[in-house]
Order: sequence, then structure tokens, then C-alpha cells
Amino acid sequence: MTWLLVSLGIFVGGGLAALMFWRHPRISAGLGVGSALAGSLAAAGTGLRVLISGVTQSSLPGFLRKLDFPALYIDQLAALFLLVIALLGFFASIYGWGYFAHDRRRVRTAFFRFCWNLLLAGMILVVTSAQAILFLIAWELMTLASFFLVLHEGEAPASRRAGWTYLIATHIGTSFLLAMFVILGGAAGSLDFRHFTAVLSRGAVSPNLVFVLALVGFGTKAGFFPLHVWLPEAHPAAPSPVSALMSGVMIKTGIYALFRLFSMLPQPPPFWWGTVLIALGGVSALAGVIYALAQQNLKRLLAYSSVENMGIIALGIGMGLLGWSRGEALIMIAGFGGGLLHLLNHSLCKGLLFIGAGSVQHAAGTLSIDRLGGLYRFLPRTGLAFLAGSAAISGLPPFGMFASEFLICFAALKGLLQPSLGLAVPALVLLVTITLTGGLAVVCFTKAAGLVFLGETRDPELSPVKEKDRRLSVPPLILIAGSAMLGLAAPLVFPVLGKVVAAVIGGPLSDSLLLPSLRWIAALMALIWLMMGLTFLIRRGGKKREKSTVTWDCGYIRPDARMQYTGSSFVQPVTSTLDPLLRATHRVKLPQGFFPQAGEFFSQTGDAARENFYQPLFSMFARVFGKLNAIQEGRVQVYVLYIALALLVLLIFAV
Amino acid sequence: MTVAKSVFYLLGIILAPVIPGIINRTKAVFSGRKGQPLLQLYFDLWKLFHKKAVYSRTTSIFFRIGPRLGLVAALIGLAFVPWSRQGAIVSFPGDFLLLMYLFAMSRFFTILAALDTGSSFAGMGASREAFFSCLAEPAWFLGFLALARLGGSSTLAGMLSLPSAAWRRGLPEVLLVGIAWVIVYLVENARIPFDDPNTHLELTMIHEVMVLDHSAAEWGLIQAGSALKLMVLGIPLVRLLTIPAISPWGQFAWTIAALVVLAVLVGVIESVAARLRLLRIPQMLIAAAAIALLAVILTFGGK
Repeated sequence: MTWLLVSLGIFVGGGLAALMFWRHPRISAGLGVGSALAGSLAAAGTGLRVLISGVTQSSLPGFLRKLDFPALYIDQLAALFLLVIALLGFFASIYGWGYFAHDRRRVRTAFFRFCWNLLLAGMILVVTSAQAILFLIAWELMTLASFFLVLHEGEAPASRRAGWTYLIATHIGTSFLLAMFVILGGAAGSLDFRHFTAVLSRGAVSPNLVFVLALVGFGTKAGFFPLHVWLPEAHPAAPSPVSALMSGVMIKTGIYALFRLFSMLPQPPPFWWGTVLIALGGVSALAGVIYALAQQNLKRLLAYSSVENMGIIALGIGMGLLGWSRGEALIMIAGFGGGLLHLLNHSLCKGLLFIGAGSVQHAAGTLSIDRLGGLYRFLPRTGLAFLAGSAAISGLPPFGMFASEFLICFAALKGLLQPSLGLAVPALVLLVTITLTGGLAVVCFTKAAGLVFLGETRDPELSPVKEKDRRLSVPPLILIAGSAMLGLAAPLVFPVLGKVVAAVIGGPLSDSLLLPSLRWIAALMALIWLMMGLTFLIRRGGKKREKSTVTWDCGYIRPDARMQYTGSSFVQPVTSTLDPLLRATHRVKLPQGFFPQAGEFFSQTGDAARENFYQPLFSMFARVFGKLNAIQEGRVQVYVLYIALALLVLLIFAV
Repeated sequence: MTVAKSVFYLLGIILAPVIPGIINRTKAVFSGRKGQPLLQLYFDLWKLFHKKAVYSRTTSIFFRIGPRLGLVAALIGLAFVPWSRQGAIVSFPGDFLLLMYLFAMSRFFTILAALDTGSSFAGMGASREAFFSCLAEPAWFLGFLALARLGGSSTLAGMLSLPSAAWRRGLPEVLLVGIAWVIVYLVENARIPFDDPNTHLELTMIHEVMVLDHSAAEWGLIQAGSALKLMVLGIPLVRLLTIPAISPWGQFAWTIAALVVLAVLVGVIESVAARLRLLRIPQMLIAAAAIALLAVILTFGGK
């Protein structure tokens, strides 16, 4: 606990110091980045210790104990998230250090470092607070800090619009949380999390109501479809280190909070909770990946892919809930554990992919997939990490995400083999969703990685710069190594996650039936790595027996880089098949006449949830509240009359 | 038993290149030609491994990873399929998931290798392959799920060795799975009527155009990998039939015989059918997935 307070102190102190020394960019960067790194290490240490020892820490050290304020609490669940936040926070901070190293805007960079540290502190406080008020303050701190980080390039209108969308969406979510805590706290007479369990078991508050409020509130942060609208706006607008941190860990605090809610439940939840999460997760996963593959902006593509992966996590949690309510221990642990493992994997992969996208933007100056290509030659380290990370995030072996998708599918498979249709039907839905998502993810990420890094640069006007700064190129390599390690070490990591699940559910759980499968998977993944290495070793013998020439061009004399398939043409078979869902807008101007001039083609994919749900909703609000304009007269006398009337009404109620 | 399984595995690797030979010979007989020797692929592989490789200047390391991972996936995949009722070398609950993802992995890196050439033909082939596999995968997967429910088992060996009572009771489902899998088998192995391994026009190719730039040993790896794939995906298909209860070696011989029949069948289909229009392929694949889904739903009707 002491180390947690130390880490929070370092974050806040270092952030303030970075802001104070804004006149001296080197000192400011040193203070800001140094404190972010030191704070992350301290937090990771605390998390690791609790996770391994399994001892919950709840008492404050020294004189703080006398305050008798049950504010902070690190159990295994909190420790797991602490570790995730600290890990990605550490590497994203290194990357952010290099990313702004040559930025001459002193005040802005110093302010960025300040907000960055506050965001880290806010996230750590969210997962460790044991009290509703503190939780909400931390939640707001996290939201506001990330809002200012998104607005870093605030001059661009698109950036401003993204910032607003984010601020509004997330506060709509928070309002649901406020309602939830008011209801729970009102019934408990206390805002301490410990007292909420009693309220739920007394039946003073319906758990169902709490669940629905939490699902909307936390689901907005987590980015479940259709609450995801802020993600594809905020991520492309934010600087890449921020996108990495937001997508890598911040959205996961929504999942943390759902687990925290489950840990308060006195008994297994009703069956429909799991069904709702599977439906929500299924829609998120499918819609996420379909929108992702249609995008032309690399970071927007990655943002939608986060929606997809949060959906897969929700599928795992949903299956876990179904198992819990039916008393099927194996389904429960495979579902919950798979969800948590997927969260861990996604955190590493998405962090690295956003970092890679940032390096692409640095090197080539654009994120438009249709213009890029062949960047592997300029960014070999980032490229290697990005290409491998793309395979990893598609859930392919030999990377960790396969293990987590396997566990989620395994939970569903056990459900499918049950005689009762109650479990079998949701399980079938889950399995079909995951296989469809998996196939589409391959399309999406071969596009993202292959068309950006391989081949030749499509737009002749781009002149990419080679990567030099190791602060930019090494963090993604470490993250992809971590993802590969998570696959090989799945049989060791999973029991730890099993303990976290057991702590949430409140009871020992056996994972002995899952471990043999995980051991096989780890062994086969190791075999894949080994055989890959061997095939390359064999080649070494005959290196002289090679010749280089041009790509087969069908005998055409002047092949051109612009003749390559583009991202849009690569996914065209899928997008044209799915057009009824995507509703892309196309504008085509064909070359016409005997002496044709330039033609034009433009296509853009909107977002169905934004266009068909939020826009009508908000324009309805605007219409309804616009009517209130009628009472705004602009004459002082009328306003005085209003005040008098209000006082009169209050007087009547008081009497 | 482990020894026998390992021997089956090695024999499988050695025999795999015969399957394309059988298909080609069947096609030759149908069109009144004498045709290549049955063992042509062995000669080809020998020749290719001794040739000098040509690489495009555009390509990077990923161009070389593609064919290698393709072979690695097929070699590991072969360890998953059961040659007899005694099971396979690799067998654990949920193993079919890893088998499917292995092939997805090999496809992912084949697509990357294709995009690495920067050729618009390769890009076109990659795009088609990615799309068609997206639709073919659910049909495979749903077939496995139907079998899992029929046999109450979550291992591949258990699904493919249904007890004869369960097999007879579930015959309609097994038949539906068989229809779906034949379609998928032809698509995944790039055969007529979905794709033509012998076409010479780049624009009409699907799988072939992705690997056009590979040469020498790497081209050999690709050919060996696709021969193995014919075998790995063929065994689940032939094992939909119940296998007679004879000795493990007898069952191995039975499976080999069934694979030969399957190869002849593929040759016959290639001889009598014309290629489908490109736009029809997704429709056929969606139909296959729907048929497999129907099989799963039928297993829900309690028995």
C-alpha cells in the first residue's frame, strides 16, 4: 500500500514539476517522463506482490491509518489491473518521450506530460479505490486528463469535434454511474464498497437495476457497440502514445468495474445477465471488425478493432456469467479467465499497434492506408513488431491471443455440449460470432499490416523517413515479445487469473481440466517457433544461390507503384458484400467525352450507431429543449417574475 | 500405440505428394491423355530444391516467411488428424480450434507474402483468398460443432470416431456436414469448380496468383504444403464414414484407401465441372455454412 501511495505521489509530483519547468524542455521532459516511469514501476511492484502473494492490502500506512477512511483497497482483481496499467504505462511513456522529443511547443509539451501523469494516476486510483466518491473522482480525473490529451492538437476542427464527442459520450456514461452509486449508497447509508454487498443481499436494491446502469455506464468507457461512438473519433485525433494508453488500458477500466460489481454480488446472477453480455459482445465483435476493415485511416481502423476485441472480452465474461448462474464451474472459469487473459493480450497488442501507427505517421506524414506501402524498408523494427502484432491480434498462433480466444471458445464448447438448450444456444451464438470475427480479422489486419508496410509506397509524393530514435522503435518490439511470451507461458499465467476469478466469485475454483489443453497449446506454439527457426537455418547454407530481379509484371514494360492493389480494393469483396450493413457513401465521377479529363472517386464509411441512433436522439433533444427558448424573454421584469414564482412554489412545498 | 501413431504420421508425410498425382492422373484419363507419372510431385520437389532462387527486389523477409509457415502449419496439422480409432498424436479437448487457427495462420502469412511482392495480381489473389476463407471457415467450424454434439466429445479424434450407434442415429447431420465439407474441401485446396490450379491467366487465378513470385525451394515448400493440406483436410472428410473395427494398421490402410477414392473423386469433379463465376463462389460458401449450421441445429432436437 505504501508503494501505491508513493507511485501516486510520484505521478502527481512529477507531473506538476514538469509543468513548472516548462521553460526548460529538457528538464521538463526528464521530470515528466522520469516520474511516469518511476511511478509505473512502483505500481507494477505493488500489483505483482499482491497478485503473487494473494494477500489483500487495505490498511493505509502510518498516520493516515488514524483517519479511518476506508479509501484504498488492493485485492487480486485490482492488482491484475494495476499491473496492466503500469506495464503499458511504462512502455508508452518511453515512446511518448521520443514522440515529443523534437516538439518545439514548450508549454504544450509540458502540459501534455502533466496530463499524461494525471491519466496514469487516475487509472491507478480507479482500480484501487474502495469508496464511491473517491472512485467517481478518480473516474473524472481519468476522463478529463485523457480529454486534454486527445485535444493535444486542438487547432484542427476534426480534433475539436473528436474531443467534444469523447467528453459528451463519457459523461453520459458517468451520469449512469452516478445514478447507480446514489441508489446503492442511499440504500446502504454508506458509500463504502464493502457495504454494497449487504444491500444487494437484503434485496433493498434490485441487482438487475444496478447491472443495467453499470452496463451502460461502464460499457461506454469500454466501447461496447453501440456505445462506442467516441472511440473511432478520439483515437485518430489523439497523439499516438495517448491512443496506445487509452485503447491499451483506459477502456479496460470499464471491464474492471464490471468485475468489481460482480465481486459485490451475494449470489450468482440471474441467467439473463450472461445472455445480455453475449448479445452485446457478439454485436460489438462483429460490428467492430466489419467497420474496422472498411476504414482507410490506420488509427481509425485500430480503434474499431478495439471495439471488436472488447466485444470478444464481453463474450468471455458473458459465458462466465452463464456458467456461474448455472453452477458450471469449468465454463465459469474458462469464460472469466479467458476474458481476463484476452484483456491482457489485447492491452499489449493494441498498445504496440497504436505505437506503430504513430511511427508510421511520424515517418510518412499520413495515416491513409491507400497512400502508404513499403514502409518496412524505412521502419524495420516497428514494421516487424507491427506485422507480428497484426497476426497476434487476429488471434493466430503462436501468439498469446490465441490462448485467450481458445479459452473463451472452450467455455462455449462446454456449454454447447450441455443437453440443456439454455446454455447451448448462447454458446452456439458465441462460437459462430468468434469464427466469423476471426476470419474478418484476418482480412482487416492483413490489410492494415500488409498494405502499409509491404510492397511499394503507393503515393509517389510521400517520402518516408528512416527510423532512428530507439525510444520509438524498441517499445513495440518488447510488447510483441511479451505477446509471444504470454502464449508460451499461458499454462503458468492462467492459474494466476484463475485465482483472480476465484477472488471475485468468492470460492476456490479448479482449473485442472483446462491446464492440459493449455500445456498442449504452449508446447505446439513453441514447436512452431522452433520449426520456423529451423527452416531459416536450412536456407542459410545456400545464400549464394539467389538472384534478385523485379516482381513478375506479366511482361509489362513500366510497372508503377500506383498500380498495386490498395487497401480499399483489397477489402472491396467484403465491403461490397456487406454494403447493406456498412452503407458506405460513394461519389464517382467517370472520365467523360472524347478527350477525357481526370475522373474522381471518393468513398467513406460512416458509423450506423452514430448516424441512426445518436444523431436522431440528440436532434430530438435539441428540438424538445429548444422549445424552452420560449420562456427566455430577455426582459428583466419577466425574470424577476420567474424568481418570485419559484419562491412561491418553494414556499407552498415547504409548508 | 504411440509408435504406431508416429509411424502413421511419417507415412502420411511420405505419401502426401501422391494425392495430387492421383488427381492429375484421373483428369488425364478423363481427357484421353496419358498424363504425368503418379509420382511426378516427388520429382518436381527434388528438382526445385536444387534450383537457384529468384527474389524480387521489392520483397522483404515476410516473402520468405509465408511458404515456410505454410509447410510448418501443414506438418503440425497432420499430427492432429486421427488415422485410426486410437486417436492422433496431438489430442486434447478443443484441439480442432488450434487446427483451424493453424491454417488461418498459414493463410495470414501467405497473404502477407503475396502483398510483399507489390504486384497487383498478387494483391488481387490475396484479396479473393482472404474473402473466400472468411466464408469457408465457418462451414468447417460448424461441421465440427455438429459432430461434437453428436459424439459428446470435444477432441477431434472423438468427433471423427463416432460410435456406430451414434453415427446411425445422427446420419442426417453427418450427411449435411459431408455436403458442406466437400464444398469447403474444394475451396480450401483451390480446386475446380472454385479455383483452377492449372490456369495460366493471372486474372482468373485465386490461390495460384498469390504464390506466383516464389521460386525454387520455396515454391517446393508451397507445393509440399498444399499436398499435405489435401491430406490433412481430407482425413476428417473421409472419416465421416464409420471406420470398420479392424486392427489399427487395417484402419490406416482403410483411411489411405478412402483418401485415394477422394482424390479420384476430386479428379472426376475437375474433369466434368466448369469453373464457377467468381461472384457465385461466395454464394456457394454461404450455402455450405448454412448447411453446416442446419446440421448443428438438428442436433438440438433432443434424441
